[in-house]
Amino acid sequence: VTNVVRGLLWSVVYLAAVIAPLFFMLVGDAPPGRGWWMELSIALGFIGLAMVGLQFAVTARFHPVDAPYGLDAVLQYHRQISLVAFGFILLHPAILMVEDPERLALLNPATATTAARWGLASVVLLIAIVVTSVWRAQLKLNYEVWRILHGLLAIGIVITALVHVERVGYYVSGPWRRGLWIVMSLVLVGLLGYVRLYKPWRLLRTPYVIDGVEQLPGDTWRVHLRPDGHEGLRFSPGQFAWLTVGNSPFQIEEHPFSFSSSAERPQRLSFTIKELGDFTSRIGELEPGTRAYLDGPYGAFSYERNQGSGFVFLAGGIGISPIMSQLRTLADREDPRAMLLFYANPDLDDVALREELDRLEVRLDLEVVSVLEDPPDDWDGEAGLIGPELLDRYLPAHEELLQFFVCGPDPMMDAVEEALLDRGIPPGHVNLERFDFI
Amino acid sequence: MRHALMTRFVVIATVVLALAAALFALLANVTEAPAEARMPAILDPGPTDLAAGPGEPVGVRGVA
Repeated sequence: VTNVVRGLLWSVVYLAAVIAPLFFMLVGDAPPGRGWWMELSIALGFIGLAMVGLQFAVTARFHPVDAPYGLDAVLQYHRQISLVAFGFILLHPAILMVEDPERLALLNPATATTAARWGLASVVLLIAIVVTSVWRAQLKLNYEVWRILHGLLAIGIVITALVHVERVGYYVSGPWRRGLWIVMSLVLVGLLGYVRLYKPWRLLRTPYVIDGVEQLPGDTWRVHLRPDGHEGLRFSPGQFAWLTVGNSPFQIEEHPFSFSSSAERPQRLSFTIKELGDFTSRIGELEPGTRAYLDGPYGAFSYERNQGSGFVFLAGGIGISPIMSQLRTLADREDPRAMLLFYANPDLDDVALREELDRLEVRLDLEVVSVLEDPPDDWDGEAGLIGPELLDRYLPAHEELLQFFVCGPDPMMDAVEEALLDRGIPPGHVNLERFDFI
Repeated sequence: MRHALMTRFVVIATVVLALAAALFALLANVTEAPAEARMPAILDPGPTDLAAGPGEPVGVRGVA
């Protein structure tokens, strides 16, 4: 309940932070209106700008903000609300041009005013950030390049938009309004400083050392870290952290990975990582003794905050990682509750943790159902995909009392979520972890 | 669940913010600007001054 209340509170704070500056501009000696459509256009532009500016706060990984929702859901919000902001900002010039088609000349930098040129530049940068984010894979932009580009474009959008507002000058006159814009600009600079300087500086106090790298089946690696001169990081099983490898935490390159180790063993943290991109394909080259930093923990995909009479885990491929952390923790805590794990993989070569799951079946009241999409001829497990028929055969009676945890590729998660809800599982009992952040 | 709720909040936020924009447009027009301020001279920059910036019309400062 506390998380629900906090979540609602932050939602209200967000809306107030977007709307309040808009109405603040009408306080005191407000300039006269210029017709409903024009003012609507301007309001949409200001709201869009405030939303873009607030994206720096949404993505700043503030623990109090992220905790009620889980960072993965917050980043999903970041992606979705960005498109709404994009729409609002595009409506700003569109309404002006529909109201008076002569204003189409605003699109020509050669004939438009300086103010319009800055606005146009902001829109062009905005289009660039949306295109490179939505179609990053199709554009073959690697994650590191995209991340740098994303940050630079975001800063560029806000600066050009603020100059546009300043050059137009209609709602920035008077000490109150001018003060508001200065404060908003300073908050943005402060957020950038918090994310890029203060947070990495704090990480300097809690360094880690790579303690070992193991190769597992299916292009998968297990990386062990030990804290260097501190007690290690306390986390809930199923959470994740952002890993920076190297002597400095002041790096652009950092990657989110789920803990796969037990939360009861903070002195030796493990991440199970599949080779899926540029950084992960080089994981095997990490040398023991290399310094690393962890920003976390984040996420809400944990049985600790979703208690039930038993648990059903559904993992697809490397989605097993946060689930392993939960199973290991449950085993270390000698939890007596009944558990069922569906572990789906494309083929036998991709099954990374079979032997350890066998050992966990002994330590826990756990049944593991291995599912292969393309099984070998002598396979005695389940074949195909996790779907309604498979769930029918394995789920016990009173399944609605259980907590379900689903992690894997998006299509698998969508299908499983739909199947569980169709069975009458309460939505609050279906916990998803979507680790595909961009 | 969390993700579905978040998507729902995106929809609610979109509606609330659009309504806020409409309300702003109403309130802003309680006092109406003179006709020339409604159609700024964006097509013909005309003479410029330092305060307005190069290429900007004198007096009316365009549209935001």
